[in-house]
Formats: sequence, structure tokens, C-alpha cells
Amino acid sequence: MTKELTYLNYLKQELLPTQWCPGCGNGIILKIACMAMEKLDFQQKDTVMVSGIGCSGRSAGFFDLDSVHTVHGRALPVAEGIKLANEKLNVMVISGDGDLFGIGGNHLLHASRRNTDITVICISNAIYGMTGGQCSPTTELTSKTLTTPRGNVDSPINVQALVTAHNCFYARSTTFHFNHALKCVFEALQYKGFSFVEIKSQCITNDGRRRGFKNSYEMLMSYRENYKINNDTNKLEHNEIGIIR
Amino acid sequence: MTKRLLQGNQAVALAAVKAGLDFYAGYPITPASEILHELVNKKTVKVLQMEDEIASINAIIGSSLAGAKSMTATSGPGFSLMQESIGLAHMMEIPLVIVNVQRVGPSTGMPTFPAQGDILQCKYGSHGDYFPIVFYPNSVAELYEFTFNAFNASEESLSPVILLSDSYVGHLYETIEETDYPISKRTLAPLGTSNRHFTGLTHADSKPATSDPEVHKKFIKHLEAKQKKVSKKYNNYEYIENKDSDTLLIAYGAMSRVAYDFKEDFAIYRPVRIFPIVEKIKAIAKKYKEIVVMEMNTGQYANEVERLLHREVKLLPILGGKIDLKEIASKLRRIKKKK
Amino acid sequence: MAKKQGIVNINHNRCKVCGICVSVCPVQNYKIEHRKLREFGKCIACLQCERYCPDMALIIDTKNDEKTPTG
Repeated sequence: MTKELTYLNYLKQELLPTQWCPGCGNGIILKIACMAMEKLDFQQKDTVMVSGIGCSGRSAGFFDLDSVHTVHGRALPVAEGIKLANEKLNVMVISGDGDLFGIGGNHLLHASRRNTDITVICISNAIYGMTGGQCSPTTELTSKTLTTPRGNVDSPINVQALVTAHNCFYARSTTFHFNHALKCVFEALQYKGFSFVEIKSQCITNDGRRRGFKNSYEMLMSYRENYKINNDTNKLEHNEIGIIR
Repeated sequence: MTKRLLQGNQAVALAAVKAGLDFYAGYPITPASEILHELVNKKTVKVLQMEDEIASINAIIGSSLAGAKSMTATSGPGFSLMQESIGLAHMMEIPLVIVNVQRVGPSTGMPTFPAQGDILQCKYGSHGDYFPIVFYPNSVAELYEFTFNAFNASEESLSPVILLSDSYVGHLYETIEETDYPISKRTLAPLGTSNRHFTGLTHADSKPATSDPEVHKKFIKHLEAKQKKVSKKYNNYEYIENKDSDTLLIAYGAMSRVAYDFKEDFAIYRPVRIFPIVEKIKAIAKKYKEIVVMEMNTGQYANEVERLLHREVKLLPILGGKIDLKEIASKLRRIKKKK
Repeated sequence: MAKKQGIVNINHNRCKVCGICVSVCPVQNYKIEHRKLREFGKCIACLQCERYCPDMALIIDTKNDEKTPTG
């Protein structure tokens, strides 16, 4: 008998395979979310998943829960509305960096200020993948994208500073650091108040390819080389991943 | 039954509470702020002041999905910001009430003189096809009554219903009777009871279906049929017959109060459910040679009426928020003479 | 030589042949042949591929081998 991956029961498995490109990190993060939910024994009847627009916006539809797929950038106010109307629900948001920091940046600022008890998992792939690979708010300086052919001239958004300015839970991880990312999401879900987990993820089709990566494995490996775990700090350096409570 | 002296906006807030409002999210904007002020003092309503109107409407979309009867109130500029999410609410089929206390536009316009410039924005503001139910009362008592109707219609049609007002009616003080109108029950099961997926994508059986034109056609037809069916319950209009006149004067909201002054010379028709247009207007219009629409814009409703009746409709635009009875009288006289 | 401890179940309906498992496997158990993932029965049940597969296409059964602890 083949063993059963019980955490996959949080997904509508009949919808698999996902429509994401081969090698996309979104699937790994979907799995991390499921594992964290299983660890905490979240029930279908008291969990709601909200997402915005973009590749990552499609995540919500895969969960075997009541889920909401909102308009671009507005996942946070919708999640806040849900949580405040029914405080018993566990409200999770999975969305991308363009959605949460770009078009929805104002809502992030105010949702963290209001400190509503929701958990946000940000799939931060530093690119607008669905629209073809334009520069996003988290694109690194000098990085080449469709709209920055000579390299990005603007520095990426400092999400850590935004979220921790209001003393909220902030964690950063990558898809390579699987266990660490799982720990981040697990702790974020238990945190009472606004918790934000930024998971760096690879987009090979519209980002890595232009930056000289051959496949998504190479991108995963680049996370291994570029990020060091540091869980005991109040401020993460740009090359560190960790949890700030 | 108690009698109370209330402002239009206060009446909306009071009626909303009586109609079972659970959740309100809003952003301050003159001339709609009084609704927010009134509601923060109500113990039964959760009130959230958001960072902008976009957040407000999205928060009430969330709260409504979570099972709370939800409302927001705004004016023209905020209403423009809400348009994308109004489309979302139609697509997801969520009951909401949106109050729009109109002021002069475009843009910041003349804060905060009355205007009726958001008529077409109600119907066509968001992209794509949808069929909103829109009410436009003209007195404080009617605002009170139609707040109930707006909530009921939204629950029955599972769609956002727009309650229009303007800074004239919204700031008007009148005595009203506090009646308890019947309340429709929520039919949409709240979040956390199933595994539904609410999405703004074209969908069938709560699964996205973005490549099948047939699914989309069916969905749009379903929306139209649903709105038509529910709106039949709310065929609200006022008709003052005048057998001595061959001209029908159409006005609504604040302008209809002005129109009453001309009932000696004109027959008067006042739609209250302004969208979908009450079909009765076809029969009434047949009795008159001329139709004049008097409104505080350059003919938004007149064009809609013209399209429905397939005949010429004359315009009497009142712009800039100034309502001058003498001026209107002379303009109406001129229109009458011309024919 | 690595002892065989895991049985690989590939769900070809889900597999998009992205090749992450090929690179991540420490014993080179996978290969892509004719746009299809193939495994060679060398699995040591480290579960790296199961974890990193973005499409939930791999399930590794661990064989009961009392001599070598597995995990």
C-alpha cells in the first residue's frame, strides 16, 4: 500500500496538477501551508483562505476549504472583513509580492497597523510572472526583467521594516529552506495578531531564465548560497532568513 | 410607532441597524460621513474605518461572505474607487448595500453641492456586464424605507444594491415615522461551512472556467434573469397624472421635489427604482406627446429612457448644484413653447 | 553502494517534468527520458524529492529494513 500524504487532504486533489509552470515554487508553498495546517489540526469548518491576483492568487482555489479569490491587491481588506465579522475563523492569505506590496501596499501598511489576527503568506518571487515577467516591488537592484532590460534601478521594498514597524510577526524564508519555511508558517499561524511570512520563491519561466539560471533547481540552490538562517535577531540582514516576533 | 426628526443620512443609518446591519466599513467623505458617525455609536454594529474606499468595499465583501449583513456609504469620488470591487461582488454574488450620497463631479468637483452625476456610473461603472438594482429615494422617510428595501433586495438577489442619495436629500431634516418593515433572511451560507471557492473569474460550480465562452454566456444570462426577477418585487415609482397636459416631466431624487411645483402644468413621473428601469414608464409615456427629463447632469437618465422608449426625450440639465426655481420655470416654459 | 530503502511512486498525471527531483536526488535515482520522468530503483528514502516536488507528484514509501534506520 502506498502511504498517503495526509496533508494533501487540505487540497482539492482532483484539481491537480496545478496550472503553474514546471518548477514553480508556488506548489512547494502550497504544500508548506498544508503541512502547517495539518500540524495545527485546522478544520475545514473554521479555516478560510484568501488570495489576490497573479499566479499565486490561484492558490486559494486549490484548498479544500471555503476560499476567496479577490481582485488585484485587495486580499488583505477582504481577509480583515472576514476575520472581524467572524472572529472564530482562522483566516489565511496567500498572495504574491506584486499583489501585496505593489497594488495592495497601502492595505499592508494599515492591516499591520490594525493588527488584525490574520496570517499572510507572501510568495515573493520578485517578478510579475503571470503578465510575462515585469519588474516587481521586490525585484533586486540591477536585476534584469522585461521592464528593466538594463537592470533594475530601484531598490526593493523593505517589507521587514514595514511590518515590524507596527510590532507584528514577520518571518522570511525561502522555498529551499523547507523546514525553516514550515516553522515560520507554523509559528505565524499560532501568533495572535497580524503575522506575515515572506517566502522567497523561484519563477524560472519569466524571471530565472532572463537572469541566466538554467532550471529551477539552480534557483533553489542560489537560495541556499545566498541566505543564512538567523532566528535570534530583531533585524534580518538582506541575506538572512529568520523570524521576528 | 414613534415620530422622529431625522437627517437623511441618519435615517439611512437608523434603518440599516433595524434591517439587521452587522458590519459597516467606510471612509469619511462629505456628504456621506454622517452615516459613519451615526453607526459608530450603535452597539449592534461592528464599524471599521478603513484607509480608503477600496479597502472599505473589500472589507464588506469579506464580512458579507462571513455571514454579516454589510454596508458602506460614500460619495462620488469614493464610489469611483469602489467600481472594480462592485464588479467582483456581482461576479461572486455577494449581498451588499452601497450608499452613494452624490456630489458635483467629475473629480473633486464642487464639494459638496448636490448633483446626480453618478447615475450611469451605478449601471456601467465596472467593466463587464452586470445588472445592478439601484434605488433613488427623494425624502428622509423614503430613504428610511428604501434602506430596508435595499437590504432585502440584496439578500434576495445576492448582489450589491446601490442606494442613491444626494447631498440635498442626505442633509435634509424631516420628520419620519419609525416603522419596522419586513426583513429578508440571509440565504448565502457563511464562510467556514463548506469548500466553496468564491472567485472573480468566470466560474461554474465554484471552479474557475476561463476558457469556455458558453459558461460565461450562461453566467451572464443567469445574472440578468436573477436581477430581473428580484427587481419585479420593487416596482417603485410615483406618477402624478395630469389630463390637461401633453408633457411628461421625469425627475428623481432632489430634482423630483422641485418637479412637484410644476404639477399644474405637467404630468410628473418619478422613478424610485431607477435601475433596472421600471417598465411601467412605457405605458405612461404613451399618453404624452412630449417627455422632458429634468436631472442634475447632462442627460444620463434621459438617454437611458430614450433608449428604452425609442423616441425623443428632451433634456433639462441643472448643473453646478444650484437649484433656482425661477430659472427652471422659465426653461420649462421655453421647452413647452418650442414644440 | 546505497541500500534500497524506498519505493518511488510517480504520479505521471501530476508530474510536469520540471527536473527538480533529478537534481535534488543524492543518488541520481531519476532521469528524464522522452519527456517523462523515470526512476531507477536506487531510492534511499531521504524524501528530498517528495518534499521539493512542486506538483505533489512523488510519494516515497519507506521499506521496513531493520538494519538501517530510516526516517
